[in-house]
Amino acid sequence: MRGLWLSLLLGAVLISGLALACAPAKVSTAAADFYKNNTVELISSMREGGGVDYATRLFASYWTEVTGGKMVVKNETGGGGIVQANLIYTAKPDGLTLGSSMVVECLVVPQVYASPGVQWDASKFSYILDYRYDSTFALSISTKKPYATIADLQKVKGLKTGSAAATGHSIIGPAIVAEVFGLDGMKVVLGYKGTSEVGLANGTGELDFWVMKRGTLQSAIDQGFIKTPLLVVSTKRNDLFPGVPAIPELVKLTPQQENLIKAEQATLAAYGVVFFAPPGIPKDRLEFLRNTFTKIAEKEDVTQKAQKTAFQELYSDKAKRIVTGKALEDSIKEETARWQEYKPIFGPLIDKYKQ
Amino acid sequence: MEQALVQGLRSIFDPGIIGFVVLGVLLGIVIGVIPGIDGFQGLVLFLPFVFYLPKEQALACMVGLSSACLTGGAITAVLLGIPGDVPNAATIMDGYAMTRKGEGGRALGAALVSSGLAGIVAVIFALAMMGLVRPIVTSITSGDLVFLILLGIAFIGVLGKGSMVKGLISGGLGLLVSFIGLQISTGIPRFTFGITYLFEGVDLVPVGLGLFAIPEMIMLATTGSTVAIGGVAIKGMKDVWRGVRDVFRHWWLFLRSAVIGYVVGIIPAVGAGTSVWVAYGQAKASSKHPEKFGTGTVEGVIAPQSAANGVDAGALLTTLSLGIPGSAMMAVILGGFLILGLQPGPAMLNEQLNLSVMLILVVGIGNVLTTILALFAAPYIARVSTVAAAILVPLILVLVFAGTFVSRQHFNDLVMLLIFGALGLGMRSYGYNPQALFLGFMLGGLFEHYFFLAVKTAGPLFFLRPVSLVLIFLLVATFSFGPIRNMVVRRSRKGAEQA
Repeated sequence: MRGLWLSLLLGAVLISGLALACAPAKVSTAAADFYKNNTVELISSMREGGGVDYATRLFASYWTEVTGGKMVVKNETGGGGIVQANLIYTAKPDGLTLGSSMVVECLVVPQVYASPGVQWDASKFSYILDYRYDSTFALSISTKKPYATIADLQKVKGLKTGSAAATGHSIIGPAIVAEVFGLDGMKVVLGYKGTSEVGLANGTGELDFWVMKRGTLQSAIDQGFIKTPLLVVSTKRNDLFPGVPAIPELVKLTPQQENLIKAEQATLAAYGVVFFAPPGIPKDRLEFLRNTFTKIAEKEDVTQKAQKTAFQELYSDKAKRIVTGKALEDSIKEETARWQEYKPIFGPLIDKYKQ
Repeated sequence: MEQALVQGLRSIFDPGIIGFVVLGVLLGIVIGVIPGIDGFQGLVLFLPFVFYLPKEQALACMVGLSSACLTGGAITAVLLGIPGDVPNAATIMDGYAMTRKGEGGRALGAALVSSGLAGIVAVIFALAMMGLVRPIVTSITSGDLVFLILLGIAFIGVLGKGSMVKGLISGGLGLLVSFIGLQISTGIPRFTFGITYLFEGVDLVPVGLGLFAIPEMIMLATTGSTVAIGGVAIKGMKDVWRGVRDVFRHWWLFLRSAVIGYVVGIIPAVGAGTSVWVAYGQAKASSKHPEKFGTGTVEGVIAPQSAANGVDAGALLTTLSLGIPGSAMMAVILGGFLILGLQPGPAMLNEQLNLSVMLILVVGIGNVLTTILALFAAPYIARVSTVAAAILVPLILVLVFAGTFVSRQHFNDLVMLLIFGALGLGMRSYGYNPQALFLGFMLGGLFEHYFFLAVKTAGPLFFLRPVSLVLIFLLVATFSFGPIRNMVVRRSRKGAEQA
């Protein structure tokens, strides 16, 4: 009997504790207080170790210093960013669940090109900040492969490269190379969880080559996964890749191929790691998030840390590098319109080369 | 390297740093013991404090915490049948069964010492192989990972003591549950029935706690007994030391399980969740008495716990040398590096060799400290298995529900906990195997991911590679070793009788 009363008392005390622990988060009228007193979950669309994940953790590492609150980073990978975007789109719009991804490749283009699984409208997300870089791509060969030149690649049938994104430049870049150099049977393998996994796949020899931006390629070169770049996917050389020839220096382009490359270049303006929230979060919280992320992005040591790793190609001009607020929203609308315009060119190309 | 080793040892025993290692270990043990809260969450909670500490102390504390969690989780796995962390689910198979037989002290002793020693073995391997991580990691493709994971999944058929068919059905159900959510390659919703909550898939925590904790607590509550059947007296430190001696008695099992854990730890994204089941399965398949596994045999504790703690040093080495986290906990530690302005990767081992060696040594020291602290407390902790159900059950249930909610703060996770609790109870009643379901669930997503990449990159004959063929051979050998040995023994006995 005594034992029964004891257990009932213990249970009552513990259940009360549970009820208190489960009480809804304190909601304050001021956004600053709200974020100080609640934990934010920032969900990266890519796997640990890659550029998007690195930028996510870099920004998250300054959140406490700037706001006094807590931020937890999580990775929800899959579908080239589609899994995470679906999750963010349908998350509770209280401002406590945020996402980080690549705005063009993972949010705009999958929607414009109606990729299977897309359940969002990119124009409706609450965009916080885009951290931008020059995303000119170059081609590097896997260190496990014996190829040293483009001529070597041209002799091989069925080359494989990889992409962490479901669509966009990660497919178009290699597709352009395949088109202009006649790489027979080349395919872009989709389904990698992030650039770190694609880099590793190059390192194991599972993939033959990689077409990617400067900072990500450099990380993979440092890790011994790929060789130094062979060519720049552009109509002219780029300072990010000193001494590396551009495509027209290696092959005579047809007018159609030249237009294809120019179209690709025209869509590179808005490349960056974007931080965003579900549609419909309260305006004051969105404003607070924009201000906070801008403060973090403007820190000198954040720029230095980013440039030291996977973001050597960050724009040095602050106005180009940090895009937020209405400028960001307008930029996304422009990109959506541009990709819609180029759909007849890029759509068949993507369908032809993706696997 | 020798200089870095000496410097690393000196650094660890600096009072300023060893204090933080001890703090990390204590936090890790507590976090490991609480159901539903794992090392990942513990590290995330600690991360903001990294800002205010010197880098050696901050990183030493984080690594100490991560090295103690799985050992702490083994305590609840053995004594209460509840995994403190996901990899501890394999320890329950025999650890909890031993406690029910009144051998809780022995099981604890075996679990704690095999954890501690495995940590040391893995550290020795890590230090010896610092320059070899890249060649090892770059020799394993997606296709090879398919067979490594298959090695883990294949043990579904030999888990537990019941019918193999029921084990396979349970495992298959687990695979099906793993398919719920947005498909990993395409992002297309699968089996979500339009329910947004299911887009992320079913979370590990409610599944694990539902399958293991809820049925166990219901059983205890309905029988009114204690965990140790009949309240069998705990034999104190003598029982614990018996478990310690068991680890040395089964040294070859311990060593190969620790190596399994270490090798799996090096490979990014596979993790302790796979290694423990591979280790358990190979222990059972190669045992002289496989039928005893699942009924409370000490080998069934030594194998998974050794593998679980062998993972850390390998995962840390991959994180340090390649900048690619070897596990979810290492991803958080990677975040800690970034806060401190350090960039793990190839340059790290050159520019920060002393710090890198120190952190690897912390894994070993952390494991040893955890073992020592927990061993002396073991006879007292083991007494929880004699606490009356009327007191134990409400306490554990509250921790289970709170731990489930704290994980993602989704009320639906509590609903999922109840669903899997009911499923776990039903499975036990009808002789199905909840461990097999959990294993299938845990590894299903990984298997699918690497399988699709393997086929896309190398075609249907992706297994025609040396590493894959070795793994296939190991798979076949593991399952045929026992029957072949039994056949040889029977034949030689027959021969001797005829003679």
